[in-house]
Amino acid sequence: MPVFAAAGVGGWGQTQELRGVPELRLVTTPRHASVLLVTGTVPEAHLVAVQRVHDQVPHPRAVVTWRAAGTAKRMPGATYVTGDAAAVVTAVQRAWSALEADPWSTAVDQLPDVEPNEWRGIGPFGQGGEGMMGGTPYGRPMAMTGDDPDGLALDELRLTLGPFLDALPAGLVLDVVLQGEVLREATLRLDALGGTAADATLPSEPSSAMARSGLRWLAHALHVEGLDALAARAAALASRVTGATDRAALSRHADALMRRVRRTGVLRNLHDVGVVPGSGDAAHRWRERMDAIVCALRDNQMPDALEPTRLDTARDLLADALPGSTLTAAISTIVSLDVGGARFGAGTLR
Amino acid sequence: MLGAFLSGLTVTCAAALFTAGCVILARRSTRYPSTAPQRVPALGGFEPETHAWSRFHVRYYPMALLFIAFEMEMMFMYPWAVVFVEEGVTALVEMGMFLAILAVGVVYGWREGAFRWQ
Repeated sequence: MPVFAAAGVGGWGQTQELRGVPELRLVTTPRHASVLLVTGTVPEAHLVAVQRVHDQVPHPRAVVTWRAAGTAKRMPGATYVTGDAAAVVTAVQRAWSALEADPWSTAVDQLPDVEPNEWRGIGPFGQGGEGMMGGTPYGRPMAMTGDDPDGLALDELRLTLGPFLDALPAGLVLDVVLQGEVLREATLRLDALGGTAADATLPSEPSSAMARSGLRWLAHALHVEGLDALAARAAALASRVTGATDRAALSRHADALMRRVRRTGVLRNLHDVGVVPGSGDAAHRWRERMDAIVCALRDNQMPDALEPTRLDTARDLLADALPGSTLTAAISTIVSLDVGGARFGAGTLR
Repeated sequence: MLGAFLSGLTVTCAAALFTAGCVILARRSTRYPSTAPQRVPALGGFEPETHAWSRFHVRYYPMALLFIAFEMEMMFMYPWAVVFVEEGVTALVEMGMFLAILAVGVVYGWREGAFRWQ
């Protein structure tokens, strides 16, 4: 069942563990989904964003919310789930069956079907403008030009990625200026919430919570790098950490997983990607985090390498690293830093 | 003469009719027409300010130019080798002229930095 997960505050970590559930297939865009899964708290500032994601799931569609709060509770026609991952699977299966039985029972659109600008019939060819740059051809203005390092004046594509982009941590918004595939400017922001109290409470087994958080990060990072089979293994391992009695067996499984990850060559691909002062490249950060996950499971330690990067720190680190890189490299860099992650795995923004 | 055009016209009309039929069938069988939010790229919640008609630097351009220069050269050298046996010096001079023209392209590629590995 193709599911697109829109993870809100506090819902990102549990969403990553769903990658290990064979009944669900987490897809990368709403266009490929039949069911929208909204998890965690969706703040008021992201209401329109989640509504747009909702409307981008093609009909017939269904909505399931999981441990949702905030505006996520106001999704019309949604099935509300508060239980564990098995309850989510059941709810999604029921929603899927209901859609198959009656495709007209689709969740209705939430945003109006209105173009951003009137353009039909305007201009010599009815395309909405005059000449190359005039008006709003097909509803949107043309991109303006900006200087290129090669001395050319090239169009600048301004995009805002997130807060429900599959490749980015939950709630993170990335404003970019693109010239072709190259980033000219990039700004990270969390415009929904400031600090939260999620990390203030120490869990009963902090090293387990940290290892679980690390494995959730690994599942997402492997998915972003296109290694979904290994991402599913990492996610399944993450879901077994809390309350596990045989920690030695878990650390052995984790160790085997890390060996598999190293053998894929993903670390070679990340070599020299996202080099930041004092933190090396993305491959170095991956190695540190993978070793730290095994260490946390085996020795009950809380390694510093598993600490997520705070947003203000990430902004400083990435100020020089992102401009000039490709969008793919920028995403890999942000993921490798675990920007905005939570120390004990709630996936809460800070 | 007209017969050759007629067959071409028939094929064109048949293709146009088939395409129009497919479009009409697709529109009629779609229960839900796409809406404005569905027509924008999936960016994770936001919509683009501008549309994606943008001019960008084709960075592989010098490399493509160089590839064409060398590929054309090799493509013509095989048949030329057969003709050279019969034509002799004439074929050699013609190939020399051809290679000289291609060499201009290679020199241009050199000036543009196509040989610099970055």
